[in-house]
Amino acid sequence: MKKKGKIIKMFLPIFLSVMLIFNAAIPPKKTQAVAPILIWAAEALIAEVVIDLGWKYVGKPALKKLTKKISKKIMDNPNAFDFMKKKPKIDGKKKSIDVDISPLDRAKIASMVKEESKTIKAKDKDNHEKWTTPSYDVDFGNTDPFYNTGVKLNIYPDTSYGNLLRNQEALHFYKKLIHFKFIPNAYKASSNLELISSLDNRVVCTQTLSGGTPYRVHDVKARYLTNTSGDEYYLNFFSTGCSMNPKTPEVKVFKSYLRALELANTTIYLAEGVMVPEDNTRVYDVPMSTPSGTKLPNHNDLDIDLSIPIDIDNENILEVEWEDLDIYQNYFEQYVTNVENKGDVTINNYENITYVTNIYYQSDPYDKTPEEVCKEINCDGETNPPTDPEEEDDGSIWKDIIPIALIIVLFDLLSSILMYLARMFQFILTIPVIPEKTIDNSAFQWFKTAKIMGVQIYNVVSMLATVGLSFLAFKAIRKVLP
Amino acid sequence: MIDFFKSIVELITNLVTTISGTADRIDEITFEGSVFVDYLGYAKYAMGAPLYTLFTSIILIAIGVSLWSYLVKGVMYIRGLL
Repeated sequence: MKKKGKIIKMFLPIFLSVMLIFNAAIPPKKTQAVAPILIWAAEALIAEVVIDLGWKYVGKPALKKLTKKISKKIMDNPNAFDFMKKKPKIDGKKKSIDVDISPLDRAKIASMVKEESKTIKAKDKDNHEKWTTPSYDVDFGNTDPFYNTGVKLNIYPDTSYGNLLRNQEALHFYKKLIHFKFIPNAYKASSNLELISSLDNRVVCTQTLSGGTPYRVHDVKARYLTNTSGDEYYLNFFSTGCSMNPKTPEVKVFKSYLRALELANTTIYLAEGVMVPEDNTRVYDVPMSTPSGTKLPNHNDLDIDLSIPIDIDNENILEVEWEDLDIYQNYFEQYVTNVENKGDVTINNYENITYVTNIYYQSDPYDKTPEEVCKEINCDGETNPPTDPEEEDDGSIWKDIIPIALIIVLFDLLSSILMYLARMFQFILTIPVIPEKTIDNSAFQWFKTAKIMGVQIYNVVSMLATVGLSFLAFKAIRKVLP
Repeated sequence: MIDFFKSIVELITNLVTTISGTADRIDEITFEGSVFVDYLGYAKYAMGAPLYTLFTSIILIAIGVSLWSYLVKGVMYIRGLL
C-alpha cells in the first residue's frame, strides 16, 4: 500500500503534465476522441490518492471503533446468536395410522348389523319400543369383565350445540359422526370416581374403579346425534374407554367397533349400556348385569358437564396415536373376521376379557349388499377391493391437476422469464446509443449556458460528476480484476 | 378430510392462475418507447455526450463484471460438485 502510494505520488505529476502536453499538441478534433479517456484516468488517479488518504486517517479508525463497539455488545450478550443454532430433533415414537375398511367389508358389516337389529327387535319388542331407532347389541364374550364393575359412561344432551346443528348442518355431521381419539398413557386416575379432563379440553373420561389402584386411562371421544322431534338434532359427546393397560383389548375392541360401524354409515347412539330415552331430556344408566351382580353407580352421582366446545370443521374420521399399532392392526383384522361369524368375537390371548356394548342403529346405513359391492368392484372372493370412492376421487384430483397444469404453467413462466431476460439484455446494449431528448425547461437552458466569471457552470458540474464516476469505475474494476 | 383436499386443490388452482397471469404480464413488458428510455434520453441531454458515455460504459462494465463473476461462481460450484 505504501509502495503503491509512493508510485502514484511520483507518477501523478508526470502523468498530468504529459496529459496536458498531449492535449495541447493534438488538434482539437482528434482530442475530442482521446482526451476524455485521459482526463478520466487522471481524475481516477487523483481520486485514488484522496481516497487512500481519507481511508488511512478517517475511514480505518472509524471502522475500528465500530468493530470494537459491536464486539463489545456481542460479548455482553453471549446468547445473541443462539437462534442460529440448530434445534435438536425430537425423536417421537408416535405413529399414526388410518385403518381403512374396504367397501366389501363395509357392506358385510352393514348387512350383519341389519340382520342382528331385526333379530333383536323381534326378540325384545317391549324394550325396543323405548327407542326411536332400531338397536343392535354386540356381546364380545360372556365372562365377568373387570370393566363391567368399573367403567361407566355418561351422556349429557347439550341443547346449545344442538341449536347450532339443525337441518343441513346436522345432516352434514350425521354422516361424519364418529370422531375419536386414543391417547394411551395420557391420563391417570388415582382414585375411584375420578373425572379426568382431556388434552384439548374436549375429551372427558369418567372412571369408577372397584380398587384404589391407579389406572391408566384411554379416552375415546365420539359424537352422536339424536333425532328427537322432526328436524331437531342434538349433538352430544360421550366418553369411555378407561382401562388398565394400553395394550388391553378393551379399548381396541371399542375402537374397532366404532370404526366398523362408522364405515357402515351407522350412527352410534349409545355405548356400554347407557340409554337415551325418547324425549332426550335425560340420560339413564342401565346397570349391566354381571355374574357377580354388581351394579354400576348412577351417573347422577357424577356431576359432569360435557358441554364442551367442539371443532366443527374437524372432519377427521379417525385419528389414532398408538404406540403399538401392529397389535391394533392385527386385532382389527381379527375383529372383522369374527364379525362375519355373527359378531361373536373371541380374542386370542385375551380370552377372559369381555366387553359389552349396546349400539343403536339408525337409518342411513350402508345400503349396498356385499354382492352389489362385488359387482361394482369385481372382487374375487376375499381380495381387497379399492378403497372408499371419496378417497379415490381425492387421488384423481391430485393426479389430474398437479402434474399437468402446474408443470405446464411453471414451464410457461420459465420461458417468459428467459425471454424477458433476453429482451432486457438487448435493451441494455442499446442504452449508449439512445437518442437524446431535449429538455425544454428555460431554467435548465439557462443553467447550461450560464457563466460565472467567464467559467461555464455546466462544464464545472459536469467535470465534478465525471471525477466521481470515473473514480467509482476505477475502484470497481480494481476490486474485481486481480 | 375431503375438505382438506379440496382446499389444497383450490390453493393449487389459484397458484396456477397466478403463475400464468405473471407469465402474461412478463411477456407484455417492452422497453422500446418506455418511460425509462425517455429518462435516459433526458439524462443524455443533461449530462452531455462524454459524461453520458462514461455513465453508460460504467453500467455496461458493471453488468458484464457481475455476469462474469456469476459465471465464475457457477463454474466453481459445478467444479466443487465434481
